[in-house]
Amino acid sequence: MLFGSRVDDSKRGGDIDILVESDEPLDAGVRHKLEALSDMHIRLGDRKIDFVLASPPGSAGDAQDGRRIVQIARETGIPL
Amino acid sequence: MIPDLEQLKLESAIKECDSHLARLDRGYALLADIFPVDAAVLAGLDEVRVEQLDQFLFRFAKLQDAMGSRLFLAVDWLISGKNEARPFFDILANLEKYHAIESADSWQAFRELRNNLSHEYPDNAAESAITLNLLFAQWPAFRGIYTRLRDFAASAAR
Repeated sequence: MLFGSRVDDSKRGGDIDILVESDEPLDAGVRHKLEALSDMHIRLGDRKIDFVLASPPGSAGDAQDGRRIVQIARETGIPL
Repeated sequence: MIPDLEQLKLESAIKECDSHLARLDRGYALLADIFPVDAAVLAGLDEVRVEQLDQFLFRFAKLQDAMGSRLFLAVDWLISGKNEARPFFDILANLEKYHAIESADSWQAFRELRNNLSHEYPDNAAESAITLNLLFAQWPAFRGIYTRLRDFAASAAR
């Protein structure tokens, strides 16, 4: 899910904000996150990418996640 | 024989990197008994441990910055003989091509580790713990990236 300023095509620049919801174990999720970021930076150059990892909505992990940024991403983001 | 100014830049970069490396080696030894960590371990660290961990992360970032912004450029000059500005990934690719570093991808992977810690530590304890464990486990490999590059530079400068 893409969120933040990049969802508005009329705006230029800004960070690339991405939310990824995954039910895999967190250690695997973090490894995949780092691999994805590495791949994106190699392809896109040294852009600022904020990659937020979260559990799927309604899951036990999601119930314990109080991060406001996850809520904002779900309310305002565009699924990819 | 390379011109004096470029030699000075190379020596200065290596001197800085070596100073960070010495601190990191000490920190790695001091912290070995707390790894691997989890969110609970991180929350329970005493002030001495927190300072040791902060120092390790600080020095890791400093070493990475010194390598990326100074040493890579100096060694790239050794290889290419050129001192013109060019994209960082081009410099990485050149270092890989001449076997000064084993892999540009592995360098980038360590950058992501460091960036993820900058974003998540200490607020996101669970993810921070996993990233810290990855960093600590892979520290010898990162150390190897630096020492390989340093040795390459020493050979190439003769």
